[in-house]
Amino acid sequence: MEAAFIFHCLSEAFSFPDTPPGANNGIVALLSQFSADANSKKTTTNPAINPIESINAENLSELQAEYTRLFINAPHGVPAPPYASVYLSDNRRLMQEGYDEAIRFYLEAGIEPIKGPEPADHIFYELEFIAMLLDIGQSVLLCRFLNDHILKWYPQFLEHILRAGPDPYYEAIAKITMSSLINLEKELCHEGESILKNGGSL
Amino acid sequence: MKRREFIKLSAAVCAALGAMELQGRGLFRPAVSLGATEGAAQCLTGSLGAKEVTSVCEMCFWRCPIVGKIKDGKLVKIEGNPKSPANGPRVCARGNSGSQLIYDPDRMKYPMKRVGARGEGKWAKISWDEALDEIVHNMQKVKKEYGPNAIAYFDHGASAVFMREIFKSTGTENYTNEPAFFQCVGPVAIAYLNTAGYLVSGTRQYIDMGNAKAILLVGSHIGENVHVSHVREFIAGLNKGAKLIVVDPRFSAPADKADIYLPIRPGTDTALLLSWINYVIQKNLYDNAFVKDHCNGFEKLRESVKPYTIEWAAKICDLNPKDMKRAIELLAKYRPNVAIHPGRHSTWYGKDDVGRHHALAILNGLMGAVAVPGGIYFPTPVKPDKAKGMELEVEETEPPVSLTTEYPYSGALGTPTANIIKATLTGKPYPIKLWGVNGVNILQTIPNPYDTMEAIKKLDFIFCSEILANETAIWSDIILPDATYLERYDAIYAYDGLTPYLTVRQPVVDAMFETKSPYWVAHQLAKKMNVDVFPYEKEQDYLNLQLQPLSLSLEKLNAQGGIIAFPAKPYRDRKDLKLPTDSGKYELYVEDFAKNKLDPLPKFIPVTAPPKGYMRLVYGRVPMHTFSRTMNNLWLNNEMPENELWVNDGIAAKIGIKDGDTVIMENQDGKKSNPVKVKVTAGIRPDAAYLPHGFGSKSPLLTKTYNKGASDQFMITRYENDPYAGSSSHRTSFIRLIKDGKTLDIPEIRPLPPEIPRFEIKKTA
Repeated sequence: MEAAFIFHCLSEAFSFPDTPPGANNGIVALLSQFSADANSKKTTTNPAINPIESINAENLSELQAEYTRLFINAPHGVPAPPYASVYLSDNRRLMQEGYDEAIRFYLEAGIEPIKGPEPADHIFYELEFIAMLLDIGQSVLLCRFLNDHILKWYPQFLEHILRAGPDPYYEAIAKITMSSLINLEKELCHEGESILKNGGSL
Repeated sequence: MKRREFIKLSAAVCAALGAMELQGRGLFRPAVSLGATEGAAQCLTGSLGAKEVTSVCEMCFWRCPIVGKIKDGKLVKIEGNPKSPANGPRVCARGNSGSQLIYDPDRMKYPMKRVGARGEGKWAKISWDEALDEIVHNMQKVKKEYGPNAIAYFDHGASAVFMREIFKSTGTENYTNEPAFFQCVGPVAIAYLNTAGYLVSGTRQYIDMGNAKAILLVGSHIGENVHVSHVREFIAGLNKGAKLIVVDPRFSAPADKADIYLPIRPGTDTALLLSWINYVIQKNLYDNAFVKDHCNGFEKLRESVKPYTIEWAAKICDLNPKDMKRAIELLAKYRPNVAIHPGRHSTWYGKDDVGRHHALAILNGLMGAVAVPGGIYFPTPVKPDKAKGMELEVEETEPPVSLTTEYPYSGALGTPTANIIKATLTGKPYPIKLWGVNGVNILQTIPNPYDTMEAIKKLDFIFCSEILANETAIWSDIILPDATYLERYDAIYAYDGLTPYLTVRQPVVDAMFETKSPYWVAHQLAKKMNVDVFPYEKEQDYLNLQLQPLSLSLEKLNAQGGIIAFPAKPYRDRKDLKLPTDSGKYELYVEDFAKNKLDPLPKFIPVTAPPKGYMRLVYGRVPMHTFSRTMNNLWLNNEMPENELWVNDGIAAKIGIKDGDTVIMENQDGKKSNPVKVKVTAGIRPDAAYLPHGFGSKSPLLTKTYNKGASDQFMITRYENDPYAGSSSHRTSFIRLIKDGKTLDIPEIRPLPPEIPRFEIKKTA
């Protein structure tokens, strides 16, 4: 799968599941790859993760409740607020330094977020931004975005998600995103030959 | 991959033409508008160089005119509107902290539907259409099955006004039952409406403290309760040398500034006032001319207060008679330029509440402190027009069985909250099956929240409209996410006090997430229910219509700094004075009360004292919080994350409690509080404990304030209803303390006179 498409699919996976993610071929492909990798490694003593099972139409309302719990509103606070600002700002509020930082990167790329219901430092904006930078080949800016921004908060966000005992689907998506970010950074931001730079895939 | 090809293509086109939208799932477009902070402003720190938008605060309900400072679409600072004649550039701590409300990650962001058990807090985000359809469906279903009165609406503040019309349209008599009236201003409002003929104290208090030569505060803790212009008028008066008398069982912030402080036994204020009324009549210390020319009922008053001597009251009130005389003589010396504060929150003891404020109003009349500098004054009406179609015309017909019949003065302000809850619990006199709750946390506001929770369990459906998910939201089936006051239009705000002005609330920034303005929500509901109300698509349409008669529009108003000031006309020459009562006179004796078989003159009604081993729980406000609304605010939480229970030092020594100890309160019904720190102080009487209101949140959706401090409201399980409007008393519960698992009985340090009965705890078998 091509890198840009991976990040595009991850961005979709981190959006509210209005429709079953099981109907999204890209997401299904990502999850299959993830399951295959997990099985081939056989490192885990935990019961096998079956993310595919929770993303069919019958489970949609459960998944929506889970998305709401993890990312929108929940007792004792949302376990994993999906905003850069919350992790990169001293006061853990919305729309603070982490948000400003994201906006500066977008502007540098010559684009701006279309005002939507979510602040533009939501994880799905940032993943889509990566997809777009990959598409237009802005690898210098992308490296800076990875190292100076998203990789500064995503690991904390991941930790928060995992600590909340998430549904296997969100656990998988969160882990796939982490490894994709790390792989992308390795591929793109260090000297030497890169398959990505030559139009390859992760 | 097709999509990838598409992006590539569109990106290429975009790069070439620089105008076409980049796709990015519709999340991005070529940069045009952001980074709008121009040139030099970008280099300036903080709020320097920010764009300014004027609006109206609603961190509390005093509603100061404000300016929001915006940089790159973000609110970075709030200040007072410098053109406001009331607060000028000032806002209080809460006003300042509005920026922390808007960016609180705990905000309700989308309409939510309960998916777990009621009260469990398990939700799923749904669309606005689905949420509103669900509400309409349930309203229609309940109305069909149980009749219109099975629908009830709890409302408060600017966010609740529009939806009231929707409830009205169902035909229910319970379309409004404002906790703000039945838990707060009810008694004082009724007392002054029937004596002075106008609302001397409701949301506003028309009392000219800034020009008074003496000020009397009975229980009002101005300065701890911060309403900016009100506090400034109080301080202005003191600065000009006004004498200050404070009556309060607690050494409050204003008590600290008092010339005479009277630490009264809780529940006996009316006795003190009656003795003062008698004293000024007996000693001829009243304004004879005003009483003769402008008052009705003086002779009846003179007779009725005769038994109430200073010496009698001194025993009842546990005060020094010399201080009592000194205080009333001081007040009388400066008549008529005296500010006898009418009070605001007045639902204290139930039966005695209207009488207490009636007594204050009478004392005010005897001092002639009406429409003169320093006294109560007349509002200066600033009247924007009404836009057509904003209120539903319905014929008011009282149903054969009504929840308001026993309370003659409740009508204008709706159904007493206590009656709604009782009917919901018992199904009598008729069942109530659906509640809408808007802008009020009913569990932290209405006495006996345990009953309220039981009542909620009996409902078929409950929904709320909220900014943050408080206790009420936890219990709701549908939550509608409210735009904050900083993100919406709602109304024109005209202030008719000493510094009249007209301003408008308008969005300082775009609404976050899918939060919506109250008008939008009500407008959508009206459409879905085919209710003929709210003909305007957007708020600006009716606001402009309302501004027209003043030759204004939103644009013109904004061009003038968002606010226009008017001259005040608060005073009247005595010869021109006409009170807005039916007789044109100040009614010392209220005929209308007599007609309704209520006391036409205040009398001493003993308020039951704490049972042996207990003390009375009193409560109040702190400058950095409003009700239970602001405790989750980052800055305000930082200033005061939890409350402390004030306990008298003598009591503390006897029961072995030290300053900073943690205790649990247990009330007369065995209800226990969260652990709370004790503040040991001489500044509270030994028969009372004081707890700042609004803490001890039981909503786990509020991450900063959940379980922090103790809730006074969850200790208030015993209440009485005033017989005039059915408002619910709040100072009629009693507590003892538990420390390290040991229950500590409160010793009685000040003996109780025989005239005051003691509350008895019913022994259960």
